[in-house]
Amino acid sequence: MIRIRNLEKSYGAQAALRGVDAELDRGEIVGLFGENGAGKTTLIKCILNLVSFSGEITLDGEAITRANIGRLAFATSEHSFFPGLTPEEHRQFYREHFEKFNEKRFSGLMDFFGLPGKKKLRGFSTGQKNQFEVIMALSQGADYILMDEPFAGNDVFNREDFYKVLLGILEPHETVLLSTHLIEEVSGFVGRAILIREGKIVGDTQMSELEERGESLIGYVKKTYGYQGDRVSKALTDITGEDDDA
Amino acid sequence: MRFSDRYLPPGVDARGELARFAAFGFVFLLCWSLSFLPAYVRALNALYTYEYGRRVLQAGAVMQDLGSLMRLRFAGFWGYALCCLGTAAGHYRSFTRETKSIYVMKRLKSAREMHVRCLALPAAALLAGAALTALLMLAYTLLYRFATPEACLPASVGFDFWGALL
Repeated sequence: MIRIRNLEKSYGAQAALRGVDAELDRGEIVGLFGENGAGKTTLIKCILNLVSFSGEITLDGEAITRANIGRLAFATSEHSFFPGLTPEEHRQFYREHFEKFNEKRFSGLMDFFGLPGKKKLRGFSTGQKNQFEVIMALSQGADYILMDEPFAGNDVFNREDFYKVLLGILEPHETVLLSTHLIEEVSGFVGRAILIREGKIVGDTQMSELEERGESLIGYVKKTYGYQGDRVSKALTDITGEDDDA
Repeated sequence: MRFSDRYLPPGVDARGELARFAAFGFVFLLCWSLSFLPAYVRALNALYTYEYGRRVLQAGAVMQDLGSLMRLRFAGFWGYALCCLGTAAGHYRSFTRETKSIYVMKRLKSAREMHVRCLALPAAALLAGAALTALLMLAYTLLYRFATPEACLPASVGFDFWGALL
């Protein structure tokens, strides 16, 4: 279990995370939602020890260090592969450095997405780069797979494929934390939703609870965020000077 | 396993790196120090005079001392060292340039892995450059010692090591 206690992070005078408490259990698929700048990426980077922070983050009761960080994988829209290596060379690198690297999953996903094995990543299209980024995160053999907007730039069919494949291949012990703006798209994929706003967690619910209440994920997000549905029509009226009813 | 698989940032071309260091070494170490040779020849010629069309040693002529002939002939080493340092910095930057592969490096068990990959080749090149510099110094010293007429050698054939570099 990843446990986050009283997590604070600032960039200069700007607070990015303010007293975040959360837990991620084994086997969960968690959606992390929030507006731009809400703190989603910072939260993930804190978990991965990529930025300094105050507070406590533990993995099965222990601080996250080099000794156990291999249990975490990361796929990011910034991309973290080596652009001068081919997928085959990545396979070699990961096999050498991550003892639980999942060869079978790597090959299966490479075949499924039809990615060339001997072409340098630098020459891939953005969509292919995203696919490869996620493939590496899923193949690392990690227990916790953190994804930050991994599908930015992929078409809808491609994303759809990914959700299906993910659901099909994940082992019961594997946890996914997926940060995305594609709320409606992932609503059938995630089992739990965490909402973050201005560095604080403002909502945390199981999808099953929403279903019981007959509430949609997007509805829950809008309600929690206090989204004003008539905002747009009011703004248009102000801008154009025309009344909607006219 | 190839050298580049272990001692260079992933994706960096080992041949290209070696060719670059060879070019740096050629320019900053070899070409720079070769200016010793014309200076030596000039000093050697100054020992002689011409009598009836014949080249003869001047009586009591003493060869310019090795230290002054070598002075700054190896200062190019510092340019070479700077290139090595720049290459190492470029290696570190390669992990954040096109992608953030630094995120993968930070998830590896060994914190040394990234430093080894960034520093191994520049450090080896620096050592090789220092060895080449020492060899050239030795070669020029031997040339001075054995190509200069015995009678014209100054009392000491030693030279100021730091004077040659700084």
